[in-house]
Amino acid sequence: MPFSLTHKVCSYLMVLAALASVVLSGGLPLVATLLVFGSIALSWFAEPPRYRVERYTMAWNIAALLFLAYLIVRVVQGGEVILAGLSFLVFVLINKLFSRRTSRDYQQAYVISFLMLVAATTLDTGLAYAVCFALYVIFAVWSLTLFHLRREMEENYLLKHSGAGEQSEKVEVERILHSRRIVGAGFLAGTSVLSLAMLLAAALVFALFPRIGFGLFAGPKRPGIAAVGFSDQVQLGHHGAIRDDQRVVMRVELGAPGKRELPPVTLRWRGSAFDRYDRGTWRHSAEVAGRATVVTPREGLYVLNRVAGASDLLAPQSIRAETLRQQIYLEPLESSVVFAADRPVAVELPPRKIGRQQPFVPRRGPLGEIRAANRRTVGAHYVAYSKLVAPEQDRLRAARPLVSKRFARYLQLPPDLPARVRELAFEITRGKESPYEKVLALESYLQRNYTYTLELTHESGREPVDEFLFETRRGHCEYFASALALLLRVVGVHTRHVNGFVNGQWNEYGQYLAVRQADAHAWTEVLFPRVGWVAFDATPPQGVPAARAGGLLQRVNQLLDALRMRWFTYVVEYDLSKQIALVERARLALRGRNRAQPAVGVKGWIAAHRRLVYGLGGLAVVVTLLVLLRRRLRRAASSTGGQVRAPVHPATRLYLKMLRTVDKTSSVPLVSRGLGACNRLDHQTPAEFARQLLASRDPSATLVASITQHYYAARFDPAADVASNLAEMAAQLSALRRALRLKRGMSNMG
Amino acid sequence: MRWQRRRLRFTRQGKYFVALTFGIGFAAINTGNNLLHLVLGTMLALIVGSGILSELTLRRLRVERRPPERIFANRPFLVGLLLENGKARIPSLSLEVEDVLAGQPLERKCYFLKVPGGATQTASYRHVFAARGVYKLSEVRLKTRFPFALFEKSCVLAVDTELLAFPEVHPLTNPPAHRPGEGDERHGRAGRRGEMRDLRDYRDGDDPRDVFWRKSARVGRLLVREYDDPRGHELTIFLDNRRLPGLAQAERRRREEEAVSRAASLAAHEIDRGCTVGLASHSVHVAPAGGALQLDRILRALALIEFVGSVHGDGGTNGAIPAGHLVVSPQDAQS
Repeated sequence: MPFSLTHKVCSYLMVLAALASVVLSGGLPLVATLLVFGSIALSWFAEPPRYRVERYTMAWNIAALLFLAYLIVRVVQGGEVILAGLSFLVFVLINKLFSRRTSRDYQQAYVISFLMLVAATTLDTGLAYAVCFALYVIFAVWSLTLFHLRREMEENYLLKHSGAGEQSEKVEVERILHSRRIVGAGFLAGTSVLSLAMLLAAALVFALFPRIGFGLFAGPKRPGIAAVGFSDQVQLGHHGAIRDDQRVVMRVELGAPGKRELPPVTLRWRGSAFDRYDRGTWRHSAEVAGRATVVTPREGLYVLNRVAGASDLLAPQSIRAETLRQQIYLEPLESSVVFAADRPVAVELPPRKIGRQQPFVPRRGPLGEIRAANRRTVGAHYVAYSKLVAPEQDRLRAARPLVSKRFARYLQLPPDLPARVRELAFEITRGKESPYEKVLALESYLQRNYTYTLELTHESGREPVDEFLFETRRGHCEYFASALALLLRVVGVHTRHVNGFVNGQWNEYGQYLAVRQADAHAWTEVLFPRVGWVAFDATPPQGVPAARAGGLLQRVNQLLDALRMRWFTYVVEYDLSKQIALVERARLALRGRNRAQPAVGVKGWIAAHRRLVYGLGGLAVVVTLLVLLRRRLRRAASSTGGQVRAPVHPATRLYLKMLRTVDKTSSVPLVSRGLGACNRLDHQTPAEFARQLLASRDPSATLVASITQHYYAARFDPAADVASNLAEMAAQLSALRRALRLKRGMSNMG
Repeated sequence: MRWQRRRLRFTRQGKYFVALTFGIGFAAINTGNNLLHLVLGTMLALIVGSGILSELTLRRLRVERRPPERIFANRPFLVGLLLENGKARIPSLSLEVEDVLAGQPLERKCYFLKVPGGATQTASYRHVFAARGVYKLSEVRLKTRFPFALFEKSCVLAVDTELLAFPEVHPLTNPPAHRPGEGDERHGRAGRRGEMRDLRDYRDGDDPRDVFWRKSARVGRLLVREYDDPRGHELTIFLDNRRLPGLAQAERRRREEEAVSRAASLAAHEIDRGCTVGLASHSVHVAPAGGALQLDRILRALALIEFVGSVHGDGGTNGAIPAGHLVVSPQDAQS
């Protein structure tokens, strides 16, 4: 590729990588994105004589001023400054690409693209940015190197460097810019290796640079995920809309570090709870609405709930020892709910960054949920401790109906609840005395007689639960949970409705549980005297998402999500505590290595350094393959002289055939050559070879000499008749073959 | 080649880049935005990478200076610079080589866009010496801004070359006529293609056709024939190299140089005509001879000649000008 074209391609790739980081972070709306990419595509062709910059300079200047004025108005009206600035940068970039002439124009485009890349860090911090960033670094190294060479060419007195002893001559810049010999694939590969080395060095600097943020400005924002079902009230029917949403809401590392595993139970990620139902809407009753208790942390733990049957779980030490530890990385949610496995006991926040506020302060909600005060739309990282063990069935079975006005709100029923709902509840629980039996009977009834579906048809004006129970007989988890809660309330059992997530998807690569929007679920909690609230799920099993799923696509998704998780954990959320931990680990690793017992023998050494051995072995295989590949490529190149193989002249083809023929019989020593074995020495011309044969009295000498003469005439004599010489060569070659065959036959007889 | 001390200088872009790096660093610390830390890390890595690549570019280079055979004062000449990349595979890109004269780099530089590994390239620069004499070029400076033009790294290589600038030689518009007594005219002097007169040892610049091969083979060293010149005259130019008194230094210097230049021009003119020319002065003497080599001898002597004493006899010269020589004196120079 000519130098100028290579430079242009690299520059465009660099600019596009920066632009992609802005677009993928949501910095530009869709229409603007299409316009921008269209303009950039057009600018590729905006070169003289097709496009003359000077004609459009004034138009571009006026357009820039108008656009700037428009952006200022937008900002005054409340638009975001950073987005306005980014839009202007994109505009200036397009302008620059349309008016690029010299290396200086390219330089300005690079500066703008860099500013865009920096600005994008404040918009989104996703994996897409990581990819764009890595690509940008590679393309930037190419572009900057080529840019430097281009500018040096433009500025220097260019000379064509001849061989030693000869003088150099001046050549035009344009000619050099169109030269294909300055940079090639090797150059780009070499600079790519440099880019990778630079990324590694950048990672090292990144890891070691002290994290002492003052936090004078806000940290990076990320767009919040609209979390359906976790606001102050929830309307039945919205769940279906998010069931196909595969976006991850939170990632959970279960258990202690180094012992990550999925517990063999259904994990319910408790979110919000509601106690009042009215015509298809669950909400908080007046007694609890807006109430949240401030909790004072003890030894770093915010103890939020007592657990039924585990009243001793109050001391931070025992909480840490006897509960399931969940390290939760919560995506930014447009909700104040903090999730934890049912039943959450305590929450622990990571050490606060210097100068930074905590992403939230946990508070005890009135219905056992965890609410976040001062929640900002940023991702949150916290540790939750939960008690997973369900109360023993005997205790539940023994529990008597609760009689207390204090909990009357958990028996609330809408006044217009159709009578047939009440009748159904009594009919199903007929003969059941204890609350637990009633719960089991209703749960089982719903699971057996109703179908799980996300495709609902709701007739407006109808009571949704009544419609579900008697008309459609199909519904999703919210209908099953609401129906169970209302039916139990009818028969005097205290219930509340809980929204959250169930299970999630176990990520084999990252050893964590990824909880997606699609894992959203609703269930019912029942209050048992002296036991507490216990979860029941009336949704048929097919409606409950499983924790493990297979399939290639799933695996690819898991891999990407694991990368995303690592990106967030080790890059976006990297802080002083992680830095200290990293240094500590490095120190321990070094100390451990020093103290390690010397391995006995080669096998012992290999066993002790298995990873190193595998790594070196793999490296050796890769290097060997590369060397072999290179050798093969070189051989291929040398056989064609490094050039594209030119069509072989028919005379040459006949001459080579002749060489192969005499090779089999000649008495002259053999020398191996690229095109086949023959007995002509490398340095010999055809004429010299013919003379050598004549001198050695080779039987084929006369014919070889004659063929050689015709070969010279056909190839190099402009006055000679090529066709007749070729015909003569072919005839004499046949004669030569016949003669040699005859000779071989005679020698065999002899 | 032993490691040379490097000099590092910020380019304008480099200054901006470092300022920007500080800015990003400040923003990263201020906001705690890890992505800004990543950008900062990359920028620092870019600076380090730039240093390593420029170092690779400058390593294992050898420079050889190739001056022309004859250099005349006030006449432009080309000096070739041969650059050899001693690295096996790694090319050296975007290199500037500048010659250093008396510690000062010359104005013109040679630019090498790409010298592949193991390859040699030659470039040349044009220069003019304003005065005759010896010029000592002791080193060359290699500079590169590769790969990102953030810094200019340079090193100095010791490459010793002594250049001798001959006096300025003009074509004579009014050559002196040979007057009796000034030029001793006689036949039978060493010339080009007359009758063979003598044998002598081979000297650089001798025509290989004059080598007497048979005799040389016998004695074991190269001998050349000397011939009588059928047309030539013998002429000895006497340069009166005594200082002129009573003149300002600049004027005196101008007249002296003009005299030297006239003597050189005369010698060139006469030798070109086929004459046997010698040079005499109060301090230097070149025996008469003919041919291009003789002209070199005379020009070399004139390039180095110094003006001593004064016309009043001080300074150690006896002041006598031999008779029969063509005298060139600063006194005759145009004022």
